[in-house]
Amino acid sequence: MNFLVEEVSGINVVRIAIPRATADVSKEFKSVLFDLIDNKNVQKVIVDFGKVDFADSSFLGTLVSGLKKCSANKGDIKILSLQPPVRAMFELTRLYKVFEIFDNEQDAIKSF
Amino acid sequence: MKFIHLVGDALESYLRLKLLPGKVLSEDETLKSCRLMMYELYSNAVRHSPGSKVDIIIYFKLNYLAIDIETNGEEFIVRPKDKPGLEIRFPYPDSVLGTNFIVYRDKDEVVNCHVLSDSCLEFSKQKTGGGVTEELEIPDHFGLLLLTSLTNDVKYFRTKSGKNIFSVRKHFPKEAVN
Repeated sequence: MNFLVEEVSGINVVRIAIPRATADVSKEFKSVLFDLIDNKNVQKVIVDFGKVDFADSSFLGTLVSGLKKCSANKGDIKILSLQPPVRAMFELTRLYKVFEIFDNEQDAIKSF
Repeated sequence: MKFIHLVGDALESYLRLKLLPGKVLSEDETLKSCRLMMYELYSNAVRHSPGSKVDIIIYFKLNYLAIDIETNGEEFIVRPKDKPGLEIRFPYPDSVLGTNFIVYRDKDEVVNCHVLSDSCLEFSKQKTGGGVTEELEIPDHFGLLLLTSLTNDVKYFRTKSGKNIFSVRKHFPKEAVN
């Protein structure tokens, strides 16, 4: 399993369990994320990047697709635990302006 | 795709040979951004133009690093964000030669596609000063945003024989190149 979904204090946390979040796993990520939003009507999602040390444009594109879908359902996706190389990607693509980013899971949960 | 990071490793090894130590500002950051550039170039070429062959040509000319990725798959089709519904395909018609189209945009920046000839497109990033769009865009040409952010020159060529060539140039200080 590359992605683990856990419910914490009523919020769905998608934990990325691999170090490289890339095109290889984008489809699987999309399916996990869209299943939560479309089939389980989840509105509050946290994506935990704590174990990820590399993310590519395909994966981040999928993340934004998920946010668009979630926003359309009046929900939100928040980002947790960006490691420096992944944070650099969020800065380079200015996704840090699109997503709320947290270092601490409790802060992310409280922010909803 | 599983071993795609090896192309970045190969580029990093080459750069360590070609760049003189201490002559490039933030050497680690430079190497990281070159690895990312290589990764994005290669992965986008492979994903978007699935073909049977990929050739990677890497060389230095004067003070710039040149990387050309050649594939024999499907052509890159321009779908401008500023002209919804329009598709620009090879060979690019006279009516669009010299024209700019937006292929990616967010609140701060756009990626322009300039039609240089009937077989060549040039991509460049431009700051818009904010406020162009509130809409989230990404899926089509997010890779192009990264490539235009990390390099000095991005071009795409389509040949009559069916080759796609994505070609990027990254400049270095002249005194840094061995």
